[in-house]
Amino acid sequence: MPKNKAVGPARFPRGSYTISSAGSIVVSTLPGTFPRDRMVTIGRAVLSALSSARELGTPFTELAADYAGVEIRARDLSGGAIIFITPQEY
Amino acid sequence: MPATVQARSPSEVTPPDPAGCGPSSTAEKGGGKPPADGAGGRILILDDDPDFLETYRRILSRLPSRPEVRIATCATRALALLESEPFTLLITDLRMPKIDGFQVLMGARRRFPTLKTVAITALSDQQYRARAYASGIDLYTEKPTTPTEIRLFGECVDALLTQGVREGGFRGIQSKSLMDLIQIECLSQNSRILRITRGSLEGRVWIEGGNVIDAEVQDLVGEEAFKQIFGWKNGNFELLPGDPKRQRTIYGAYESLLLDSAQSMDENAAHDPDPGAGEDPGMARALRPLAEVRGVESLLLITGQGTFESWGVENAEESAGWTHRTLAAFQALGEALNAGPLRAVEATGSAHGVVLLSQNGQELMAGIDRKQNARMVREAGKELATHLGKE
Repeated sequence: MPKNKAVGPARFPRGSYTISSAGSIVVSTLPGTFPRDRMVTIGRAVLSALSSARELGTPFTELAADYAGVEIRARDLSGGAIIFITPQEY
Repeated sequence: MPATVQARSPSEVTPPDPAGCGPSSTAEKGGGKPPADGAGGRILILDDDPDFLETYRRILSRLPSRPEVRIATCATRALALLESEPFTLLITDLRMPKIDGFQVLMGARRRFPTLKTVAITALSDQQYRARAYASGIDLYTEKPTTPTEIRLFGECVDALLTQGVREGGFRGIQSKSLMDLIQIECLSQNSRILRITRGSLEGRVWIEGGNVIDAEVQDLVGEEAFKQIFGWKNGNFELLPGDPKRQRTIYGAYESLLLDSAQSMDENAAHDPDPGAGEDPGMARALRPLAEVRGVESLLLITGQGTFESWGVENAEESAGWTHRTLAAFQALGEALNAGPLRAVEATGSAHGVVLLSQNGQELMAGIDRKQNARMVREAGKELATHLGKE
């Protein structure tokens, strides 16, 4: 009988990238194997959270999402953001 | 959103200089090397006199707490710096062209409730002084000129910087009681509404032409309400414009009202000690253990669709919506990335910091004291998650 394969979070590379306020990637230190569309998806979520907080009158300069597999930390850059991807230590 | 703060900004972001204050307004790093974690505090000095700024930058950066000192020669520049960087203390001249120190203080107090403020002026005027204190400053002083005055000024600033989180007192009148605050307003014959909040409680005192004419808190009005508010030992206050149409329910002189209230407070003190934040009578039971977590200053717990409990949160309904949408968006992102369960979302700004958690079908937004560093914010988040897990 085949053994059940353990299912856990995906492995993430370490690096950072900058995303413009329009959601396009400006510069990245992440390896080329990390899909660009994932970077855009993360960037959109971050920019949306930062802009909705701004609209509420409580602008944030830093935002971090802590997942079991990765930490996504972003700093506001005048409407855009620099995003740091840090895999969690197991 | 909460009136709490966690100040961390990207140091690489330089605020714009929309006022074009010129090169003399360029903020400079203070000579004092701040201790790790910025424990020495950060001071922003605003004055339109560059010579004064330079002199006081040097003096203050040598204080025992070794603060980092930055300077600005115009209000616009100062406000931009406050928006983009964390500061412990703002020192401002009151008389300046275009935007004066009072306007800066009002703006700074609204945006950064925990920022300590000092007003300095070359004028010796009692009414000016009363107005400055009424605007919620921590210290009012004439510009020091002699070596002794400079030394005393430095000691006062150092004391403000090294003072920890206040255990009592009203924000803005930190070394003063509500009694002092009302006395200042009445002596100045002002017409104001004093709005005082403490956790989820809100009280109002109407002052008209230097007389206390009415008060309101929960379902109490008049003297009863005044005495209830007067018994609060801490909270936040805001001075609103007076309301001449307010019906008068308090007729006695303010001095006797203050005296009566102080007496009632003394009599009740032994039987009814001032409850701490965790025992705020207006706080929902479910929030009480969460409020005891170190650094927590406000809470919003969403228990079901459209139902939530909050404590110390302004715009609770809008904040609940933002919390729900943000958590949903990052949960969806986690699923799309296969990043594993979302443990927490932390967001920090120059005037506030929050931790968002989702557990057992409940969603929590906790406002965290801005003096907490990133590690402490994370620890607070873990502790809050443990409490939520027990629900």
